[in-house]
Amino acid sequence: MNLDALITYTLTSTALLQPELLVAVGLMLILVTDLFLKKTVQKWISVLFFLVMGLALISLSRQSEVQAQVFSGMISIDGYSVFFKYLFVVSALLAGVMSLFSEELNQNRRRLGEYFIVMTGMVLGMMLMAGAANLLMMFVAIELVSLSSYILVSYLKDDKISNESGVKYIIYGSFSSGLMIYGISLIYGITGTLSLSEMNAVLQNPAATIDPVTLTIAVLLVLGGLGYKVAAAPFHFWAPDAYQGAPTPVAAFLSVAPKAAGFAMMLRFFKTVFFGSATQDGYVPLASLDWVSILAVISVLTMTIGNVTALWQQNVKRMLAYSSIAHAGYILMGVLLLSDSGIAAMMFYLAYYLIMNLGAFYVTMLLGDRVQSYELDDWRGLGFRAPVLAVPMVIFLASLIGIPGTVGFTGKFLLFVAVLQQGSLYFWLALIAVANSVVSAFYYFKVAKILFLKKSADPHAEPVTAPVPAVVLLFVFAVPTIVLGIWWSPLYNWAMASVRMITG
Amino acid sequence: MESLTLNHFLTLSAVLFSLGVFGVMTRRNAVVVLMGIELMLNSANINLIAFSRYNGNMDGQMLAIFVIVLAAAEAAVALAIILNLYSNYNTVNLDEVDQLKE
Amino acid sequence: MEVAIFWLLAVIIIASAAATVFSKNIIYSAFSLLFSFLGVAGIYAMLSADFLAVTQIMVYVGGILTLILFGVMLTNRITMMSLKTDVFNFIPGLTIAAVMLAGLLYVIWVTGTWASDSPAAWDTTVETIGTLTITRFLLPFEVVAILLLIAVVGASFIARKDKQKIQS
Repeated sequence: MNLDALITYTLTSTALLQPELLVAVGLMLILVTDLFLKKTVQKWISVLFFLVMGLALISLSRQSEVQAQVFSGMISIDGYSVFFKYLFVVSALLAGVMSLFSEELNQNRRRLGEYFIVMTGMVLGMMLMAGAANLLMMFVAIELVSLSSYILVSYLKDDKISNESGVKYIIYGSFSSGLMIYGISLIYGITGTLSLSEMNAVLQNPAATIDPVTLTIAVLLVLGGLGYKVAAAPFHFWAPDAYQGAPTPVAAFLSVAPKAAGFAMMLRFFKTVFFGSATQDGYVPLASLDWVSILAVISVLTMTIGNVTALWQQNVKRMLAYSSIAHAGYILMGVLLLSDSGIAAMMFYLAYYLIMNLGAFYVTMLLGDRVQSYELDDWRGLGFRAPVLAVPMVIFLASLIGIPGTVGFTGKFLLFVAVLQQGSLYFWLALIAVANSVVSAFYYFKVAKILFLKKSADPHAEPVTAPVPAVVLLFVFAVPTIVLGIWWSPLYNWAMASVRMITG
Repeated sequence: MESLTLNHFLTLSAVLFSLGVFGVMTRRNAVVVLMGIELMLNSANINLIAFSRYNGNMDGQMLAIFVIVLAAAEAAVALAIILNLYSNYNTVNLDEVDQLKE
Repeated sequence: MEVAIFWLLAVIIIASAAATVFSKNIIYSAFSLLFSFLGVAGIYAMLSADFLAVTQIMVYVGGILTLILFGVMLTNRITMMSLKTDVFNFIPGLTIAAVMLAGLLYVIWVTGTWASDSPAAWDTTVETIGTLTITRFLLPFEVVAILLLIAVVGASFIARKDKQKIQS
């Protein structure tokens, strides 16, 4: 390639990566501005952050029709990745606003510059994860996200618990990325390439001798890295510790955005590499890997471990962590089906899960900040002291269970329908998931019960309130949880349309 | 004497990898755990470069370079977090750091 | 000759890696790691990856190992003889590592069918790597730059002592 052609190619590629480019430039702007900003006007750095995210949203909205692979097949831009990029930017915006109301982050005039710099970097990493079409790009993107989350989790550096969760998080994280890179090296050895579509070509070639055992071990190792990002068993140990110790807005963000990014990447990886041409609704798996069984086992394990362990949690943040592990288990069902409706159900699930889970964490943060505790025992009777905060909490909990009328029901319904469409073989999978949902009702209800049915230890406790803007934001979460439950088809149709646009 | 084959390198890397895994799982000191992780990354790199050589394309070597860079970044952040841990707890032994409980 | 060098390097790598993970003294661990890294650099050179061999020495030995040594120095009071570090989960750790090793060796020796088995001849890789970095691998290269920026910002933020804290 001569130099002129190279420059032209790079420029065309860059133009198509406009949202990512905006976020990257924004990151540097925030970094430079932060250097010159006085400590008293610290909060203004967040305005810049919102501006960057807003611009990224606008630029994303102009990409709905693009379908291309740029930078020599490193990254794909298609409807599928754009859908996820919306999720990341929106959740970053919401988590950013949440951070402004967080006592933990704002006490002692803690520096917020680094916080928003790292968060911007994390958004960039997730956007690249959603599009990565090469194992090298996948690894670099996943590491960018991991590294940023390690920093965010240990952000409260004089807080012992935040410290501890940061150390545990980075050790589990580096360990699983070690497993992943070893798996990648084996896959590279088997196929001789790092590009997902070339790998697919090698695997489809009837002349090639691919050994299924080797491939399975390699893929299991890669799943170690991906499973860690989505907090799937047996790589879920970090989640409760990290969520409990991290600043609550960070825990909320970690429980939705990197999880969605992990699923986006997992699905693109499996779909591009291990499947032949698509038929009507469903894909032809290549014989060399029995990936449905592997993922089905992981899915069942994940949801069961998550739900059962959540039953005896006394700390709300820890309980929500186990609940988010359980939800990863449900979402995995959508991945392993590998049918259009399964993928669309997964995307729909991730989109509304973002809203209701951020909402649940947000209320937890507001209540926890006000009573200075996240232990359930200290939350007795809080519902009467803070009805404005507790009623939305009940809505989120109902939606997390999947009670009809909330979006949680719609999402689970769509997912189960997609599972059953695949035939009776999957019947037991749906059955386990339904049983799990029933189990989950116990611990979600426990929170509601403690908020409203238990008497407070101190009968004359002051009512608890939150500033008006904080309550307004609460409704930004609560209203869609109800509205999307009834009026869900536009979002679902959008997900469905995005699925059809996945390019290799 | 037999000549060198790909399997020689792969075996070396498998042994190194297992030693790394063993180190990560059994050591109490966070810094030693970090060393175990570096061993794992090194073994993956041996794999990548050996495959790159025997496959005759450069992708593996390129990935190995990126792995080295990422290992450096990860080590820097991990040590910063560990130093901070030390200043708060006065220990870097993972089993003594246990405020987070079920 | 080649085989002999390989075995020599392999013994150095494995022995010093074993010393790293088994040694009770953290200083010994850190210094054995040095020999392990150097041995791996030798292996890279044998695989005609000259650029990587140099990078391995410069980044791993010159950078990461130095960092780790700083970590050792700053988190252990040498005067208090607290350098000894213990082991926990010995049996489960050994089991998992052994199972993993057995699985990998099985895959490598029994079932492994790798893409190719004929070593290609390369003179020097530096030029190829340079070209690839600005062509095919341009995007990851730029992303890694941002990643390093984040790592620098984050690491310095976390490791820095706050003013109030120093006073108190």
